[in-house]
Amino acid sequence: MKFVVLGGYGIIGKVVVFDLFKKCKDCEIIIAGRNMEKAKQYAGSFRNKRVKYAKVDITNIDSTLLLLKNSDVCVNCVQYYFNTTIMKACLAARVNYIDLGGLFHETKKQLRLHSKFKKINRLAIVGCGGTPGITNVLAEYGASLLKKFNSIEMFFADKDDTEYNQPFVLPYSFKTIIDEYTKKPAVLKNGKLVFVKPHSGAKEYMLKGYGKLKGFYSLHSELATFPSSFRDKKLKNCEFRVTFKEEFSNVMQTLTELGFTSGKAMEFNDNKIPVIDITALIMDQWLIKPETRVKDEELLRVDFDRGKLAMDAISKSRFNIPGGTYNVGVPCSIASQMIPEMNSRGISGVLPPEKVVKPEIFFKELKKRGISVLKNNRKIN
Amino acid sequence: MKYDFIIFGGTGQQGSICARDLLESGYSVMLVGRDKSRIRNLLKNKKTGFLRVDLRNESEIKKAIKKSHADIVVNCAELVFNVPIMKACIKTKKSVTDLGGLQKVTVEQFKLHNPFRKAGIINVTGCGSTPGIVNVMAKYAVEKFDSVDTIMLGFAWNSNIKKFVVPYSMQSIFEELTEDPVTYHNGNFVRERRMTCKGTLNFREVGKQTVYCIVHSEVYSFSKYFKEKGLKKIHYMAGFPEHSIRVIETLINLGFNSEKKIRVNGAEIILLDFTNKVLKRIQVPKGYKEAENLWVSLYGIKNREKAKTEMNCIVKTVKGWEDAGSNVDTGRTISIISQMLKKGMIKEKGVFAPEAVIPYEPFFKELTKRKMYVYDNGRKIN
Repeated sequence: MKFVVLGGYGIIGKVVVFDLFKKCKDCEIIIAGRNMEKAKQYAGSFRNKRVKYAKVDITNIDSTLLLLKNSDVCVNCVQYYFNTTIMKACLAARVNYIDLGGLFHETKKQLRLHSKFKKINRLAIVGCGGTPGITNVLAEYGASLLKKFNSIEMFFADKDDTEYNQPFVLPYSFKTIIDEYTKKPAVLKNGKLVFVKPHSGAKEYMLKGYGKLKGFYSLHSELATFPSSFRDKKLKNCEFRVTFKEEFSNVMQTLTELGFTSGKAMEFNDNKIPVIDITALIMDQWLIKPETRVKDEELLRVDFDRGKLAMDAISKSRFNIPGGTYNVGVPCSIASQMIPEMNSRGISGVLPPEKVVKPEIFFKELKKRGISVLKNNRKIN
Repeated sequence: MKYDFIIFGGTGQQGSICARDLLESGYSVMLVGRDKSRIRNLLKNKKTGFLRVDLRNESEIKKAIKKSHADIVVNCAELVFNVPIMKACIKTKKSVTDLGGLQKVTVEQFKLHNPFRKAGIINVTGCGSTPGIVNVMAKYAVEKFDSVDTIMLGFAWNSNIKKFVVPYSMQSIFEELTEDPVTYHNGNFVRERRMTCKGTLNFREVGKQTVYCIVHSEVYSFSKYFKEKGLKKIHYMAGFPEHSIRVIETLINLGFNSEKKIRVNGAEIILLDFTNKVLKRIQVPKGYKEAENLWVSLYGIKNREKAKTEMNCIVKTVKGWEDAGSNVDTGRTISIISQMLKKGMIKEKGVFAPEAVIPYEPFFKELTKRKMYVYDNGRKIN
C-alpha cells in the first residue's frame, strides 16, 4: 500500500508518518511538501527504503495530481485552507483521501464533493485527528448505546506537568489560537444551527487532576456533520468548547484588549502589515522548545444529555510528543490504514469519521498506542 | 518666523501637553517630531510650526534649533536623545530643559557641566513630575532640617476606571522596570535585584499600593546636592495600580519590550516600536480620571530632635485636560521651568537638577495655577 503524506514533516504530519511506519510494515510512505529539504531530512531519519520524499506545490492541482498518481491514500496534514483544492487533485488521480479537519466552513465545502468521490468509487474521510476525529468516533459509539438523546456537549482539556524553562508556554501556533478566540462559533440550539459571538458560552470545569479550567465556544467541524449524522437520534443541541488555564486566558484577553490581535494593517516604512502577524511572530517564540521533556495529557470529552453518558479519550505524552499532538496524528494514521478495507466493502464518497470508522476496532488500535477510551469514567479499551 | 520655544518630542504625550501649556501662556512653539497626524489640533494654532527631524542625526537637531530661532530648547524626546540634543545646544548656545535621564544618561549629562558653563547656557535636567516637582519639594523640606539621614521618594497613582491606558512613555516604563534598581547607601550606589526591594504604603488620594524600587535620576542628583546635609540613604519607589502593572508585566514577560529587529514582508521592525505603535491607539475611556501622589519622605534631625517630614504633591485629572490624565504634572511642569528660563529667573550656567536652581516659591505658585497642590506634612502650602 502506498501513502502520500502532505506536510509529512510538520508537527502532526511527523506523528502520522511515524505511526504509519511502525504499524504498517508493508506500507510505502512518501513525505511531501513545499520544503524538499525538510521532507528529505525527516524521510532520511527512518533509514528505510519504504520512506521516500518529494516536493509538491499543493496550491497547484497539477503538481499534486502528478505526485498522487498510483498511490492508495492521500493523507492531508497541511493547513486546512487547502483541503478542497487537494481533494480535487485526489479526484483527478482517483486516490482516497483523509484529513485533520476543515474548521467547519472548509468542511462544508468538502462535503459537497460527495457525489464526485462516489462516482469514482473512492473514499474521503474528513476530520480524522483528535478533535474532530476521536470525538466523532466517541460520539458514534455513545449514540449506538442510546435510543435517542437531546444534547451533545464536547470539550478538550490539558493537564501539563512539564517543567518548562520558559516564562510562558504557547501550546500551539498563535494564529490557530486566535482563530479559536475570534471566529464565530457554530452551535446547534433547539435543532437550529446558529453562529454565536466569539469567545462566548463561558463555562468553568473542575476536573480531577486538571484544576480549574475556563471553557468557551469555539468553531469546530464536528458541528458541520453531527446535526445530520445524529438526526435520527433526535439530536437538538450540540456545542463545542475549548478550555484554557485561567492564567493563559488572562494573557490572551490582555493582548486582545490592548489591540495586539487586531487584523488591521499598520504602516511600517511604507509597508502595510497586519498587527496580528507581528504579534504572532513575538508569541510563537513561546511554542514548546524541542529540548523540553514533555509530560502532559489531553482529555477529549463527548457528553450526552448533560452527564447521562460521558465518553472520554485520554492521551498522555509519548516519545516526547505532547498528548494533544499525539492524539491528532495517531487516529489519522489508524483510519487511513482502514481505508482499503472500507473500499472493499464498497464505501465511497465524502464522509465524516462517525459514518465510516467502526468504533470497537478503532478503540483497540488506540489502546495499542496508549490512548485510553472511557465510558462514564471506566476504561473500555 | 521666530519661535519662543522649540520642543523635541513635540508629537509625543508630554511634548504635546507642554506645547499646549506654552501656547496657553501666550508663547509660540516650534514642534519637532515624527508623526504630524498626532497633533493635528495643536497645529491649527497659528503660533505653532512643525518640523520632521531624525533625532539620530545630530546635525539635523542643530539645523532645527537654528531654523526655529527659539530662545529655549525643550526636550521631551526619549532619554537616549538627551546628550545629542545637549551637544546641539552647546553649538547653538541655547539653554535646554528635559525630562530626566534615569541614572545612566543623567551621569553622562552632568559630564557636560563645564562645556555648558563655558557656553553661557544651562541645562535643567529632570523637569517633569518626577524628576521635577519631587526635587523642588525635597529642596524645600531639606532646608528646614539640620541634617537629613534618609530620603524615600516616588510616585503612586490610580484611576477610577480600571482600564489600561499608557501611563507615560512605555519605553521609560520598560527600562525602569527591567533595569536593576539603584539605591544609595552610605555614600555608595547599590544595585538591587529587580522586584525584590518593595513595600506596601498607604497614599493620600490613591489608597494602598505596592511600590517597587526602580532606577531613577533623583537618587543620583540628591546624593550630589544634599551630601552636606549628611544624607546616607535614598530609595526611589514606583507605584502602579494593579490593573496597570499586571499589563506591563505581561508585556515584559512575553518580550514585547524587546529591542530586537525582525523582518516581516520586507519591512524591518523593532519590536518595541511596534508595541508602542499599538499601545498609542488605546483611547482614554469616557469619564476616566486619575489621581497621582508624588511623595518625598525625609528622616533626620530638626532643632536637635529626630524628625520626619512628608511632602506630597497631589495631581488629579483636570477639566479640559482629560486625555492627559495625571500626565499634566510632567508636560505642564517642564513648561513652567522652561518659561522660568525664558524670563531669566534662573541665572546659573551649567548642568543642574531642579533642586539646585529652581526657586520653590514661584514654582509652587505656578503649580497652583495648574491645580497641582503641594502638602507639607498634610498641610497645603500652595
